Amino acid sequence: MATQTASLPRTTEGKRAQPVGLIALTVFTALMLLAASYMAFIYAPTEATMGAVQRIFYFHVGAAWAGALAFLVTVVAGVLYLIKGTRKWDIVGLSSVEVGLALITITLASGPVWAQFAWGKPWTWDPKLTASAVMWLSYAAYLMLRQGIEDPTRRARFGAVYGIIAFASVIMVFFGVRFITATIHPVVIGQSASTAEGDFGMTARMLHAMLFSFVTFTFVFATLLWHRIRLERLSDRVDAIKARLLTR
Amino acid sequence: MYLPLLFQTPTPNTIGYLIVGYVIIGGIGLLYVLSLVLRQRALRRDLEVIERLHLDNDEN
Repeated sequence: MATQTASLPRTTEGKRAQPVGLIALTVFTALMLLAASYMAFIYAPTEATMGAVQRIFYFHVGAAWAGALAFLVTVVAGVLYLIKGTRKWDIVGLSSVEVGLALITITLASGPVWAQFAWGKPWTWDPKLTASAVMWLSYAAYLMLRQGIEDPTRRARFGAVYGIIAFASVIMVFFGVRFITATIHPVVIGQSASTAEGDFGMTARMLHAMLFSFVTFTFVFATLLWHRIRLERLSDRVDAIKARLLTR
Repeated sequence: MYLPLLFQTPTPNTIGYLIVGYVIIGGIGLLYVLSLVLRQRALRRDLEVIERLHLDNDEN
């Protein structure tokens, strides 16, 4: 009996407690989010021409930064998968796309609330906004198209190559549009285009709040990525056990 | 000296936009975390079922 029970490999993995490091990181990130909220709502001064709505900017930009970082991690994981061919890097790439997509969704959904006040409309097919929508769709398509490939090796190779190519959309959003002079979207770092609407001069306290938000969202990304990777590993384990039981 | 202050437009009250914005930000964040929790719970349930089936098979 003991031998038979042992033949069901590592089924207690799903019940295993989370690593201490992950618990500590999760708690720390939650505290960072509280601190970032304090910085955004209380520490940073109210912008004179827009009022309180400008405070959306801190989390809007922070989430955009972390989303771009997530997609960069996908590129690195994709390259490492193509070199080494190990499932580990496929899991990192997939997990990073999913977390990045959630973060970019936050950016794309919060921006229109600010735009409704600043521009008088929630959305416009401005180059920067259009490029952002294309980026979101590119990564949403990554998740959907992966599902359609049965063979795990082909699926992982597709994910790696797609993740690398799709990063072109991120470059377009964050750097490419800087060379387009006819955008109404203001930029955070550097000079906005002359056609930008809703631009504002950042005070020192606003800058502190923004930088703190960048750091916080980096931790949010790292925490979510770690949780998502563990979830994918658990899913792999369940699939492996199911396959083994079916072939017995 | 204070004359320009007379022509300044007052800061608009946009607190409603701010609340809507952060409800959206928090809502999307919580939904994603909830999806992670639910998926993990479903996988753990799967593992328990497999274990039970395996034990039943062994007993038979």
